[in-house]
Amino acid sequence: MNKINLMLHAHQPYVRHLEYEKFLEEDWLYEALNESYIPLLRMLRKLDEDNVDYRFSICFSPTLISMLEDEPLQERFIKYLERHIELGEKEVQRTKNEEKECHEMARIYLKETKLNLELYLNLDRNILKEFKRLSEIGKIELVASAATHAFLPLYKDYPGAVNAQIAVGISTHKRVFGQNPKGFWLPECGYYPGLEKLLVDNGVEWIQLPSQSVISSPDKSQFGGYRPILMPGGLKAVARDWNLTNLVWSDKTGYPCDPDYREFYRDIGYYLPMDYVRPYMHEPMLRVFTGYKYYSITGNTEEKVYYSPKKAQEKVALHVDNFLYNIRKKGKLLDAYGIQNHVFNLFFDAELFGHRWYEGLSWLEKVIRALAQDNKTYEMVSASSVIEDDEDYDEIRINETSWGPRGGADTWLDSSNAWIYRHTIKAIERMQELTERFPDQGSLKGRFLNQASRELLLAMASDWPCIIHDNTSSSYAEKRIKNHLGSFNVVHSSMCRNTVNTEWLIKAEKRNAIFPDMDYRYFEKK
Amino acid sequence: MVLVNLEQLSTDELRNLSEQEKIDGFDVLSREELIQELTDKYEEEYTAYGLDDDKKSELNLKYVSSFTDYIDNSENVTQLPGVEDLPDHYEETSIHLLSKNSDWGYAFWSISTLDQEKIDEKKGVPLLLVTLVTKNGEKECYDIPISEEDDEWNIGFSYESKSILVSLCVDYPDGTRDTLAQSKPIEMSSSYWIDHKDKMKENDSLFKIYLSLITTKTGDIINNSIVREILADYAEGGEA
Repeated sequence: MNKINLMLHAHQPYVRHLEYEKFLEEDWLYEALNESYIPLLRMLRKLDEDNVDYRFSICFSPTLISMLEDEPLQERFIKYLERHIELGEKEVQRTKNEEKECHEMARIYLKETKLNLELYLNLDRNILKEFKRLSEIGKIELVASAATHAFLPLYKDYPGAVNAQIAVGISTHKRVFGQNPKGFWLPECGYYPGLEKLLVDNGVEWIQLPSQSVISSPDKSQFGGYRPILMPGGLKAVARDWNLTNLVWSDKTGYPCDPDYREFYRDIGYYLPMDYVRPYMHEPMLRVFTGYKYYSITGNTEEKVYYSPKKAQEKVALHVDNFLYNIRKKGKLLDAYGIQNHVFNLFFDAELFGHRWYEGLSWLEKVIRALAQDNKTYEMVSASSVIEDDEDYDEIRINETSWGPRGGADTWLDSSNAWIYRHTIKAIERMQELTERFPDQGSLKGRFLNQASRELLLAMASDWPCIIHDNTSSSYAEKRIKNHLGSFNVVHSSMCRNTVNTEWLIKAEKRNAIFPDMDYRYFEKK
Repeated sequence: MVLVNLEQLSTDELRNLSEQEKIDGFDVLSREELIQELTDKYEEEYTAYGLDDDKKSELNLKYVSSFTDYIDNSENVTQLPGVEDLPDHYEETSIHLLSKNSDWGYAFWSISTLDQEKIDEKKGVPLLLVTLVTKNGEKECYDIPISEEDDEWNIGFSYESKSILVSLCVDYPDGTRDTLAQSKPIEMSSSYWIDHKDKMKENDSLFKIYLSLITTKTGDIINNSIVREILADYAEGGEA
């Protein structure tokens, strides 16, 4: 039997700029909702209708949770969908007369967007409720994560700050999903020795680890990452199977690179006349993706061919078969080497499916159907069930690690973004001073300190150094860090004088309306 | 967060992007010229961000290059008394050491005005003192000379070390040395297999299992220095 522990990680940085009519970086959330999260729910509904059994785990990061339940953002997402439906209707008309090869896809996009809007409204604009329902009937396991997706190893000298990330993440999970999470998704698989104590103290039972953490352990692994790991302090872990995930994940040889799949980058937002696409662009005259994409990857050439859904689906079928073949092959290998009861831990970003890899959800659906059909060969499992069912753990310690390049912190700490830590670390030290000086503040001062905690957590997000490292929205990321730390300093300076600026506080609470159950004492020194 | 190779874009897309980037002659340049102009522009930005050549080659060029002009909340912040912009340094003497990976750490420090005045007055010379404890329990130290303008340094790590810390020190002309601040120590990684190379041969099956987790279908192995060292030893026959 081959156990498949599929885990999806859904995360977006906290981006909410209600001061603008439209804000480009908010599109990250809307694109993910329209192209990944809602289509994923639609796919799961189809599986339910067809009585297909499935199990997997999904982590919604606390920043994403906060945005998904934010009423102004929900309202703006509906407007986003309505604009896309309007564009779709124009596209269906346009492609009747020109670029006729695109007509079928224009209709498909329009239909999908309408279905997404319909489901979104049926769910009262909150998709989290449906994921909660699916977890309550045992189809999926919901996994918690750090408050703002901070890369925790870089803050290991400040256990209070790491604790705040963990505790706020878990309290958000409990508030929204009404359950104690057993699993905790480490942002970027970032682990350091000692972290397990903070996790266990917060009620966490298991985490996920990158694949190289097993062979490089200070102890001899007996099962090579194919059985759950027992770490010091009783924390359990599952290690990612890089070999199998790379069949999908690789940006050179992964399934999504197939020439017949849809090209992500060629979007009408970038090549149709500005006058036509202007209503769907950002001011001033900024061309952006619209989601209407009609070409296939084709190859490393300018001359792309039109996308054929039929050809793409043929490739999906081939890639499903190939994936299952590789699972079976590995299963036989492990059986031959005596690794019984093995589990393949497959971790993916949720946004890969549908958003970046258009056919990804179709592939996933067919994989799930195939796994369910052959239940003598495969078993889909949740991470908790694997851990609870297995009594023979691989007892090993784990070195500091991540799933980033070289297994370290290089992405989040390089020459472009290292400056961040001078300021976030200083702010953490100041926050800890404030918790010592004001150990039990309620009312206004408590709110002031809680807002400082929110701003500091937001400044610690791993997204900002990652964006600066990738040099994509660098100036935005820099401004976000500086603004959050600047806001933190407002509180610090005021509290040093034992004063509260009420007007500023009210504005700040509205601006960054995240983590309503914040308690600044999470930052106390550990 | 969108990355793409410019070569993949159509000429129309390149022209639109060039217009957005305010490149002169975007409407008359050839496809090759547009790619060159955009490449030059982005490389300038990479250089401005201090990215090294290795990293540049890892990156695709960016596509969506300009974003909504984000109005920050500095107006709300700076109207209050006593609120500072983020300073270059804080008014304190301290040093921190962060672990980048198993080969490199990153140290950053600041020296308070008071300490700096004292250093200047006594004609002191600042330096970093790296202290490491080897896996055999021996203590080793070495100096890294720094200038007054320096405030950060990449520190090389060695697998042979058990722990490492860095101190911010000053040498004075009279031969004395003051320690101004000390980082917390970093505990280095250790690996069972690097420490037990002699047992690799007898665990050949286990290594095949290990490899099946970290090797791609094209034979690439996760790029991690400890893994590389283990596998190099394994390939050599796992002799101690």
